[in-house]
Amino acid sequence: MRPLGLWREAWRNLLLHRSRSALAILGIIFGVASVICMTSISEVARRDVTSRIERLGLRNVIVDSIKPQAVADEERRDTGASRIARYGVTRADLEVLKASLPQIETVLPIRILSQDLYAGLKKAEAAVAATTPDYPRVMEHAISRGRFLTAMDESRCLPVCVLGYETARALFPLEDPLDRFVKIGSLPFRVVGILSLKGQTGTGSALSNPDQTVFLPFSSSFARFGSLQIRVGQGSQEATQIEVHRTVLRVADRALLAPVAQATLNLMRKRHQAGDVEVSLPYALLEEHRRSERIFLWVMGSIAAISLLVGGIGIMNIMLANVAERRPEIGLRRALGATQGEVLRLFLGESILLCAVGGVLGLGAGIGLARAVGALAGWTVAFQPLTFPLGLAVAMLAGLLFGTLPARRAARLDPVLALRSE
Amino acid sequence: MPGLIDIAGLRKEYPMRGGAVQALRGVTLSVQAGEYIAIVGASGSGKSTLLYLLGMLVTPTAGQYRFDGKEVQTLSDVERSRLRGREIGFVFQSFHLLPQFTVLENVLLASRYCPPAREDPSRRALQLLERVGLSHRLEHHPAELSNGEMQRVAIARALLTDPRLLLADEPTGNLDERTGNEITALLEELNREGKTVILITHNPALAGRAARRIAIKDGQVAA
Ligand SMILES: Nc1ncnc2c1ncn2[C@@H]1O[C@H](COP(=O)(O)OP(=O)(O)O)[C@@H](O)[C@H]1O
Ligand SMILES: [Mg+2]
Repeated sequence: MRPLGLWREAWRNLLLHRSRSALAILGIIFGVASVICMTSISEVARRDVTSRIERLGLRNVIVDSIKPQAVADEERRDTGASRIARYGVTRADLEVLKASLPQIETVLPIRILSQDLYAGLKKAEAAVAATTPDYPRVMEHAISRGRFLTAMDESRCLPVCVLGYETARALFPLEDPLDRFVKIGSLPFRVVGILSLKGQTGTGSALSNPDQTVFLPFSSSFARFGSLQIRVGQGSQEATQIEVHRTVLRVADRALLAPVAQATLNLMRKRHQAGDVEVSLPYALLEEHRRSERIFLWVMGSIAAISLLVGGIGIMNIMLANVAERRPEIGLRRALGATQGEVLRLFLGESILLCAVGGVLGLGAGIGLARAVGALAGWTVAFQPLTFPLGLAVAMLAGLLFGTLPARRAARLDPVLALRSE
Repeated sequence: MPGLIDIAGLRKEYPMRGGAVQALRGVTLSVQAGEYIAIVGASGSGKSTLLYLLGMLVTPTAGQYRFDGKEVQTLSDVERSRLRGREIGFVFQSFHLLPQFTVLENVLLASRYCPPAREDPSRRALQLLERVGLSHRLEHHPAELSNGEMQRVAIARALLTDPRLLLADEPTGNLDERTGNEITALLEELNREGKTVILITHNPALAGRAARRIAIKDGQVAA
């Protein structure tokens, strides 16, 4: 048997006051656990938001039609009269865009119809979107069965449609949807294809879930439903005319994104002085999201720092009590030949060990807590592996920092006074 | 002839709020290797201060201290601590065994900072505990021992690094007469084996058995 080394001796000293040591590290446990829990949850949120934005297409510029202020004001006044609100991107705009911006590889229009979708008597909770054959390529959305809309469907305004994955499952849980007929509004459309599962995309209510959408040819929407959409309210009839709700511009190269977005904005400002068109860049959204994420990380880091500070003060408190209580031991160790530095290291070692134990327990508690939150919220929990060693290191650093004052006090103690206090 | 210990004009002042306390007012003495010395004097006269000064745990305010030819004041904290750990063993009135360690570990603690040069410390610890008659209590904790047994463990601990000097501050102060006599006998035996022993005692009978007595009065050596 050899004399115990620093760490084993420190461990034994801590075990002497088990409950005191346990209470002392509660703060550290909570601090580290909250760090782990928060980072994992933010990691989940980050992956979710990032993939939503990415699904909008990082090589796309998005042009949305928005309700101009004048129309909104008039609606609020609600004169009871019948009126037609016309705004947003038109088919003429699309031609101008194509003609004046050759860097645009594809111009993809999407029009939303306020129609209901039925299979037999079964109604689907689905958006009705009219678009062109370029949709799957521009939106990076694969076909699961059958085919997408074709140029022929488009040029002949055919009554065919393609179902989003969830819509197909909802309308035809048992049968094969291909070649069956669905009704959009009161008109029959033949199902020619089904898209694969994609997941939620970015923003924009009716456009946010392509899995719960039915797609019909852009031309068919005008040929069969007209360009006006009529909504009947109490005592009033409202007609809106929006030709294109969303236009997705695909550019050949990411480097062209910003200039194309700027050129589109300039063009649209000139043609739409009412402010009924909005241009956005998923890529820029992602950047912006990353920026706000960094801010979030700073905020989180500060919260973690504060909880570790509180935990560290708890450690300092306990270590000061330990030093005061173990004065005779300090004197004895000096009598046995310990230098001031060795006494310092002993108590510093104890507080670092204490915090390391708290850190390990905190890691465990954090993982458990994040899993529990994930299970309740239905998230898959994701951990950044780096947070584990980092959390432990920060806890031990807190031990070093907050153990210094008590350890120095121990080292500077007059050994004779220490041996006398009984 | 230079002794093991030579001190000259040693003063120790404790600065206090109400003015400095003069614990030692100029002490000069020599101790030869192998001596057995009892320090006697009234309580508060400065005996402990002198003992811990000799043990290098107290730094004097003024004066000279030469231990085995080395000027103690010129040594660094590390050098002084190592010298103390190797050459000086302490025995206290209240034993100062650490409750978190077993008997064996308490003895071995003396090798924590100054491992003995030649021998394996645990073998030596076992031998010493056998010598003080406690080899059957190795794994016990101090709280399970009687006062006399605790003092024996403390003596074994003081001997682990095989120091030349044993300093004992009222080693029998917390013991009954019979046990106190046993401990004194042990210290005398160690002295016969060559250890220099300096002890403080209030017991006139024990002091009487010492070959040399130093009486301290008001921080000075009384005639
Ligand atoms: N660390 C200290 N601080 C202040 N005064 C002290 C200290 N140590 C001892 N003294 C004082 O020095 C004097 C001598 O004390 P001490 O050496 O313990 O005497 P003894 O051991 O003979 O009883 C006493 O008056 C005591 O109060
Ligand atoms: Mg005393």
